[in-house]
Amino acid sequence: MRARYLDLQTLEITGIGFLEGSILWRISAAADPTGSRAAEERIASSPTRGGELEIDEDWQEHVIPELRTLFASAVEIVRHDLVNSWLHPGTDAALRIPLDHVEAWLLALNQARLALAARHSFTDESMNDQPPLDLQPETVARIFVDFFGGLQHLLLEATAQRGGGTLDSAADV
Amino acid sequence: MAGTLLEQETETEEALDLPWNVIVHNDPVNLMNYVTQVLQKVFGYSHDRAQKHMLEVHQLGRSLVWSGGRERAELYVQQLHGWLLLATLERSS
Repeated sequence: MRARYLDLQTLEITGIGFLEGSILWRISAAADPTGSRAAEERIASSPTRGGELEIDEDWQEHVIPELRTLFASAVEIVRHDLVNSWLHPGTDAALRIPLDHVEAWLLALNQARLALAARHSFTDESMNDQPPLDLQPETVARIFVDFFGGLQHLLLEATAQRGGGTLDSAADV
Repeated sequence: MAGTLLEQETETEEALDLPWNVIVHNDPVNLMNYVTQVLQKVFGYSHDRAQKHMLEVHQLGRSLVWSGGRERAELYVQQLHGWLLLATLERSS
């Protein structure tokens, strides 16, 4: 996949194959921590890990609902872009992401990666291992985590380059 | 007795005045350049300073990224959680 600036407000991701496209459409489902306590706790973590009960309780009551709204909003923006800016569906698809949506994409991709990793108890060691050649749920989750990370990296590189003033620059993953 | 009371009050006031530390912890998933950019965004740090903290997190498991009043410390942790970094606040010892 490759990212380039289409204009001042739009980043275009090109060269999205069928498999990559299929995984992209799973961001929303992957980001949902429902049904996994580990994933829910990672997405809504405690600020003092029980060290200051008053702060943790206050956080649970007031901050977590705000964060949940923020996270849901990011996923909704990604879903909206996939529905409305998905070009040439098939083996060489493209996706146009408005620049003011890039932060939402980064956040939604992170939610998906963290929820999957927590759900499957990935560690530093397992993240560094080569995944086995099978289609066990853990392996598929690892492929998703790596792919979403690659897209995050692509978006970070592209926006960093834009910060450097190179509007027509491109980045590959 | 009066002396003891005064001493206790002074200790309490000192405890309230102690700064709070904002700590970012390592996790196996967050990308290194993502962590660097979040630290730049949240604290306004230079790229080099943010990268130094990111490397501390990566190599040592945690980095003290900010220290100061409780209210601001809570706000910073909330912002870091908003980017899904693993961050906590703790009283400075």
